[in-house]
Formats: sequence, structure tokens, C-alpha cells
Amino acid sequence: MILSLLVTPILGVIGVILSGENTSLQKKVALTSSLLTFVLSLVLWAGFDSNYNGFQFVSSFPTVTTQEVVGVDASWESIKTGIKYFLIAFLVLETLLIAVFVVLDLLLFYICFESVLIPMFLIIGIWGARERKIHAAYQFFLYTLLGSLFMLLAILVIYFEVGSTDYQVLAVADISETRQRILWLGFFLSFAVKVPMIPFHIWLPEAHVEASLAGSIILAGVLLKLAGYGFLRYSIAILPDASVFFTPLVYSLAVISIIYSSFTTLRQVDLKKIIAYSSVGHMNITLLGLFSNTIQGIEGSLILMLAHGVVSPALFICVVILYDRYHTRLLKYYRGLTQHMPVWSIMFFLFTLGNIAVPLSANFVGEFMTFTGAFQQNPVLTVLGGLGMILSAAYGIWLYNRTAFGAQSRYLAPMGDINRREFMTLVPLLFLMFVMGVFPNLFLEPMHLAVSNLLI
Amino acid sequence: MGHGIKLDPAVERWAHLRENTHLYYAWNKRNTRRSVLWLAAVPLGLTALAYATQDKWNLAASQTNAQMNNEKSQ
Repeated sequence: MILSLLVTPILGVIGVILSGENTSLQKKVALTSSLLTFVLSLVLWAGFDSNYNGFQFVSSFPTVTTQEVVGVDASWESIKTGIKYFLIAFLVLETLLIAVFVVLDLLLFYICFESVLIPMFLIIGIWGARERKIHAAYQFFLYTLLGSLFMLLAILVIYFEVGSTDYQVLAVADISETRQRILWLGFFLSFAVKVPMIPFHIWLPEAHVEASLAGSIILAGVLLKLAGYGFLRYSIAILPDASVFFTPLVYSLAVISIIYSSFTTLRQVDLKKIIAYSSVGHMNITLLGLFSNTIQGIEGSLILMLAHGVVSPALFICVVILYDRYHTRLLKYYRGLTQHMPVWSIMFFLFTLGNIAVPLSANFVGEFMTFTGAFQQNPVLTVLGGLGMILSAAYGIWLYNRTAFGAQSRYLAPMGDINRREFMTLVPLLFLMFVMGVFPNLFLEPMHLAVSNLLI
Repeated sequence: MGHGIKLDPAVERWAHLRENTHLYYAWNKRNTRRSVLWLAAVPLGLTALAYATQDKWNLAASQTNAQMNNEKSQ
């Protein structure tokens, strides 16, 4: 069943190749393949037995497949050249991303983790928006690669010590605390770049700004979660003593990242960079929950990852809707958009509320549970990290106020509100955001047993 | 008015400066002091605070009739 999740996007690649030069057919094949993968992931999720204590369908969260569908749909009109190769890269990326979450071998995880960089490098470097796209692609690639080299060294040490890279063997292996600490640092460097934690975060705003819409959706919606998954699956589960030892370090770096990135967001003038920097803050909030060693904290961080994976891409879609019309992302030009884009304003407002974790949104559930768990671990740093919630409200509301309200901008001519395709791309994300916010137990209940096994 | 927007050269110049501030950055005593404070002193201080307050309080103490201060209970 899991194999079908991995194979379906590859079948989509074959379908795209066989579609010849018919770009319309290519897009439809890619969308059908992504939709099919999404449906298969829902089937897996429905078949998941939350009372069974063991591996079933590993990491069948449908967010990866949701964002692939959204990515293909959102870039329906924006990619004009090399559509076939773009769709092939996208579907290969989908397979690799699913593989990262389902493999049960450490070395395979590393291979898939690194392989994700290749299609992403192409998506940013070839189909990126501006002249700095190649610089952004290289920065993204080299930052992640350099961090991951230390993870590879750690994996080799684990292999020579334990004799296997199979996850189920490693989970019960006895590694000395001193060695665990060194190995943990190797893993930490790799995942810290991916989260991203300050000071390893520079690649993210560049990559987001230069990437096309689909690239930004996948980057914000899925790629950043690879780090959280890696921390949970490998750092905490395989190296528990070191995780306990380094928890204060993670907390301090996460709090620094939350506060510094939130203040940086307030200073930005590029719409996409604002959302990119807000992602830095939110992903670091998830780290507070992951290392809290409480059920609420870990489940909260997982829900927050899901929620952020829905809301952040939606915000990028809203920004690119403006960019498609006016070809600028500078905040100075935009004001009074409610007057001639009322539906866009409502959508942007709802997703902004989600981003600032207003109750009824999924982000609220995630952040509340995360801070509840983190407060039990280290109340002082959690209170400081809670400043991130206040600052996220500040930049979120300020951004919306500047773009939507006020007199109509003297720079802009009305270009029409969002069209049906753009609306239908946003509605599923809106629905997901509210379903997760109002019925979080749908997503929390399958996690309880697995999360309780993770507690140290 | 191309693409429905009238570009303002002044806004474009301002945006270029904001996006490329790092190319015009020069170290001086003021920003060196601030960099050392916010990039070294504050993170190190926060890490020290984190290690000092780690496992210091048991917030669920009232539920288990335990001491709230972990150091006193040991």
C-alpha cells in the first residue's frame, strides 16, 4: 500500500513524458497523478489502527500529497516554459518526499533527505521568479548539504557501532551517553539548517522569494517539516539521553529564532519574505514542543506542523495572486485592495488569522498545546517564546492592514478579483485549516499511542 | 501602466537599497558592539538561563503532593 504512494507519482512522470508536447494534457496527467496519490494517502490514513503499538503505514499524513495537488494546481498558469520538465521534477520531488517519511532505514532516510535537494534545486534555479534565482538555488543546496554532511558522519559512526541502520534495531540499541551527544550534534546541524534555526536560516527567505509558487508551496508546506520529523524519529527516539542533555540548548536557540525572526519579519518590505520569515518563527515553536518530553507538547508540535503546512502555502498563494496581476511584491505599492479585490481580502484575512493562531484555526490548537507542553519543560524560556505569538499577531495584522485597507493605491489599477481556479485552490486549504482547528482530535487520536512511546 | 501598475522609480530605488543593505554595510564600533550583544551575549546568556532553569520546578507538584522546587525535594 505504501509502495503505491511511492509509485503513483512515478507513473505520473511516465504519463507526462508520454503526453508528448501537449502541455494541457501534461498538466492534467500531473494533476491526476497527484490527486490519486492524495486519495491513496487518505485510504492509508483511514486504515490506520490507532490502538496498535507498532509500525503500520509509517507517516501516512496526507499533507505531503495535499500540497503536491495544490502545487500543481497553483502553477497551472504561471509556468510557461519547460512545463513537461517542471511537472516531472515536481512528481519526482513528491516521490522523494513521501519516501523520506515512510522509510525505516537511517541510511535510506539520509539518501531521500538529500535527494529532495536535486529537484528542488532545479525548481528554484530554472523556474524561479527573478534574476537571483540561481544564487538562491545554490544557497539552498549548499546550506542543506553542508549541514547534512555531519549527519552522514554520524550515520556512519552509528553503523560501525551498532552494525545496522535499520530503525527498529537502532531504537533498542545501547549507545553510550558520551557518544550519543556527539552523534546528536551531527544530526542537529543537519536538522537545524532545515528547520531553519537562526543562524542557519539565511537560505530560506532567498529560496522562497526566488522560487515559483509551486516551489514555495512545497518548501513551506513540506520541506521544513522534514527537520521536525528527523528530530522526532531519529534524534529523540534513537539518542534519548543526548536529547535530554541538549534540550536547554535547543530551547534557547529556538526562542532566539522565534524572537529574532519575528522582529525581522516586521522590517520586511517584500510580501513573500514576510511569510518566509514568519515560517522561521513557527517552525521554531514546533521545536519547543518536540523537545518538551510531554504528550501535549509533541502532539501540539505535530499539529502545528500540519497547520503551518496548510496556512503558509495558502498565504503564498494569496501573495502570488497579487504578483500575477501586478508583477511586484513590494509592500509600498499595495493598499486598499479590499475595494477591488474583496474575495481575495477575505481569503487573505482568514489565512492571516490562521497564521497568528487565532482560536478555531489549526495553528491555535498546535501552538496552545505546544506551549502547554513546553511550559512544563522550561517555563522561563517558554514565556519568552510566547512573545512569538504576540509578535506574529503584530506582523500579521500590520501586513493585512497595510495591504487590504486604506485608500486605493495610486500605483495600481483594478485588475480583477481572484478567478475560479485560484479560489478553488484556496478553498480546500481553508477547509482543512478550520477542520483541524475545530476537530483536532481527528488528527490527534491516531498519534496518542505513538507519541506516548516517544517519551523519555 | 504595464501589468496594471505604475512603477515609481523612487520606490524601486528604496526597495533596492533595503534588499541590498548588506552590500553597503560597514563595520564600526557601534554596530560591532550591538552585534556582539545580540548575536553572542544574549544567546549565550539565554542558553545559560535555560540550563540553570532546566528541571528546576515541578509544575504538576500539587497533583502528586510533591515539592514544586525540584532542588529542595532532592
